[in-house]
Amino acid sequence: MLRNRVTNLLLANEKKSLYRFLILYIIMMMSIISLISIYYYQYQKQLMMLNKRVVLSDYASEQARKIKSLHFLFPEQNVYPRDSRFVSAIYDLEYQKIFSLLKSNEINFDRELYITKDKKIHFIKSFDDYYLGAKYLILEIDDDELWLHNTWQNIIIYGGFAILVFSIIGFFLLNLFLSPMKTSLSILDRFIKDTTHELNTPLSAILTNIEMIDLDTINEDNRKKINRINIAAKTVSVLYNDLTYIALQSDIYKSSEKINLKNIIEERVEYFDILARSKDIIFKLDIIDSFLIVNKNKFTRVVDNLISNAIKYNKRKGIIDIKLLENSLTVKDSGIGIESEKIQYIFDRYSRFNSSEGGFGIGLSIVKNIIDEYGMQIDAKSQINEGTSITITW
Amino acid sequence: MRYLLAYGGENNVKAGMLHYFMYPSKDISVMPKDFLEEKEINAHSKINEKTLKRSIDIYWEQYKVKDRLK
Repeated sequence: MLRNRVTNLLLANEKKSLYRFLILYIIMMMSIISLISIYYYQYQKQLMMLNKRVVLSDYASEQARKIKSLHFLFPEQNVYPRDSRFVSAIYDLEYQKIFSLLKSNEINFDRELYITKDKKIHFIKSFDDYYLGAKYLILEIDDDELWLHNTWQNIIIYGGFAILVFSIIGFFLLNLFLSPMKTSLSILDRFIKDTTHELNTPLSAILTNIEMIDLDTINEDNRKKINRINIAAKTVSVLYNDLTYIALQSDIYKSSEKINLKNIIEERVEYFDILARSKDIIFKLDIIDSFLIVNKNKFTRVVDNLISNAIKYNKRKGIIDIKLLENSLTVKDSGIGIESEKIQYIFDRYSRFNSSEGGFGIGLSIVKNIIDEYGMQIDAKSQINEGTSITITW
Repeated sequence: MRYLLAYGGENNVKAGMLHYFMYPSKDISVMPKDFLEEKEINAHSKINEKTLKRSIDIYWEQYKVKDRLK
């Protein structure tokens, strides 16, 4: 698989789909693990209760025998039988306490075995005969929570292992999911790269020869044709420069110098003037000297893309306002505008919102890339049929 | 203790005793069968119900298990 800058860059909206997939996958994974954990916890609790029931049932039978003996010896003997392994109580059939050594008074006569809020296990045995007037014998032992500790330990260990296994599966699924996307991006990149190499020489030849033509010596009809060729060649030239920036990243984009942005804007406005005039678009410049330490070629790409977009998406006889202040640059067109829900995607690579205009949808992606590289801010505002305004601040 | 063994709770014991004193019968007596075969049961009480109830209350307080276990 080809590896280059573009291949490694996923489009923002496709990233969103990935995040959604990931969130869904994590929720699903956590739900499965939680459900299994709950089931395991309940199972362990039932198992512990089953064991306690067997033990407490034996204790209760033993205690019942002692109570029966005491019944026939009462009142000469009135000491309630005690046992070091448990504490107990007797209640009559009207749920009135006869005698109790219990530490927890939370008694639930509807259940045979339960855990109280203060972590005591109660076992209730019901008598057929009312020895000492008792219908219910309640046995109480401490819940040492050893089972709970072991259960949690197992949930954490096996749950952690399950998360690890699910994560590995998720990673492979994600790669499977990304594979067609990466392939299509790499094909597109390869195409751009190959095309770029082949464009430079013929394009330079066209532009140079157009500049060399003496327009005064040719008739009006031919002059119009030459102008159209000039416009077309300059449009291709902007595209070529963008593609060069993306695909080649040559040395001309590496060094920084102090530049006056005003000069670049004036130069590029003049360059694009013929394109603008073809749609009867006029420039309104409100620019002052503004100095930046940046790579001149990179910033030319920024200005070129903002202006060429403002021309491309403007209406006939439209206006392009360029305002350069000490720490901001705004390029505003009077064109078709972009819907508010789409504005967040305008800086995504290959995103185009108007198929009637040409281009690959890479211009604003390049602008954003350069702006981010210099730690500047870029903001886009747009209103349908009123125009789009893009502001860079530093 | 026989009434307690047979009837359980306080209200049950008191109601059982009252019923027996008012309508004495071998069938509802709590005494053992052998005892009943040897001895006759007491005749119908001439004491009125209110006095009987009061007497049973005094009896209960005298012989109850509750509060007497240590």
